[in-house]
Amino acid sequence: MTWLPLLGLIVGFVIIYFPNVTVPGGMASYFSLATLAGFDSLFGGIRAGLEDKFRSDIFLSGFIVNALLAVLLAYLGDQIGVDLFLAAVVALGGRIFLNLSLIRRYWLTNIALAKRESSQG
Amino acid sequence: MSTPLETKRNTWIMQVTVLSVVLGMLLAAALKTQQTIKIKSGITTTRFPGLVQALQQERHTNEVLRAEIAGYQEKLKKYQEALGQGSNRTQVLYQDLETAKFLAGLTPATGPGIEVVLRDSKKRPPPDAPEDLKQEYIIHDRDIRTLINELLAAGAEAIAVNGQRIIATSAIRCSGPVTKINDVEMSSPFVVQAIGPPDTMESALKMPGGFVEQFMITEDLSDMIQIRRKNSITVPAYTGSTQFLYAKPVGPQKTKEVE
Repeated sequence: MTWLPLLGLIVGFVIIYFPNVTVPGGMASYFSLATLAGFDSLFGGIRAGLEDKFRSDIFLSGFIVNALLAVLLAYLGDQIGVDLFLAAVVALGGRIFLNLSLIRRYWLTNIALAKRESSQG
Repeated sequence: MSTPLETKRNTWIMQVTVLSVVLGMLLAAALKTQQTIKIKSGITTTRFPGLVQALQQERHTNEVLRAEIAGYQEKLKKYQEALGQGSNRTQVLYQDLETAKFLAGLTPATGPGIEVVLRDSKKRPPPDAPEDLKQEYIIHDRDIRTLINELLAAGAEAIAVNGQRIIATSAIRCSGPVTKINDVEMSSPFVVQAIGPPDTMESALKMPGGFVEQFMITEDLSDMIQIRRKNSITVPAYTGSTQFLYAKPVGPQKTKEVE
């Protein structure tokens, strides 16, 4: 059950990777940024789920709005000559690492708890 | 039967899974795009939408301008032909003009000569080779310049590189991965056609310490140069702009004053 998201990731990847779909050159970097925003939402969702705070409205809106906002800001930055692309990468990247570390923490705590219970029981 | 807690857990895992599929697709498309960009352009940077646009625009402008030049030259030719069909005096003028154009490289020329093909070596430099040794496996602008100079010294009268006629104002220069001749981009192989005395030109290139031996100094890179004698070569006319913006002819009266 826990491995379903990973499986989904691989399935989605395979569906698009092999039929040779590409994005027009000028859009490529914005597209990558949207992907990064998507990862931010994904790990945020997993973390919320582990914390029992998961709300599907926040999860879905976060995915769409974050991706669009990141792309829009980066585009605006390009137009006015400020590299907001980097700002988005730093912010999103930072959050991804934070969420990943929290997920790892919950996971390890759960394992430790389960071990203690089984040794007591 | 599942407990309420388990149902809740399943909903979020399902939703995360659905999003994972979408994200996998996004990731695959992004990756594929970056790979295609790398293969197509040889540029490894991920950030160049602006450059792409600028390049496309420049290419377009280039095409338009080139078409304009072709149009003007066609018109000029028609005027000159009309002139040539006029009276005796204009016919002489027309013939003078034709001679001048031939000397300037504005008309195609044909005759015996040699064809030299320069190409990047198919051999790979050893991986631990220093940068300047690696550079020797590639044809540079200076190789083409030296070759043209040698050919001219050996009596070449008309030279073209990959269809670009070399004239008095022709520049040959590297710009990044391509070489520009008459502002036209090209890359290896470079076919240099020269009309002139075939024997003299060939032996000038092959003399000891000469141009061909330059490709054998550090290693045998003789696959980079090929020389063929030709009974008949036709080099095209120069097709670029012939407008001088700064240089103006000096009138005959002025030279007298100087004397």
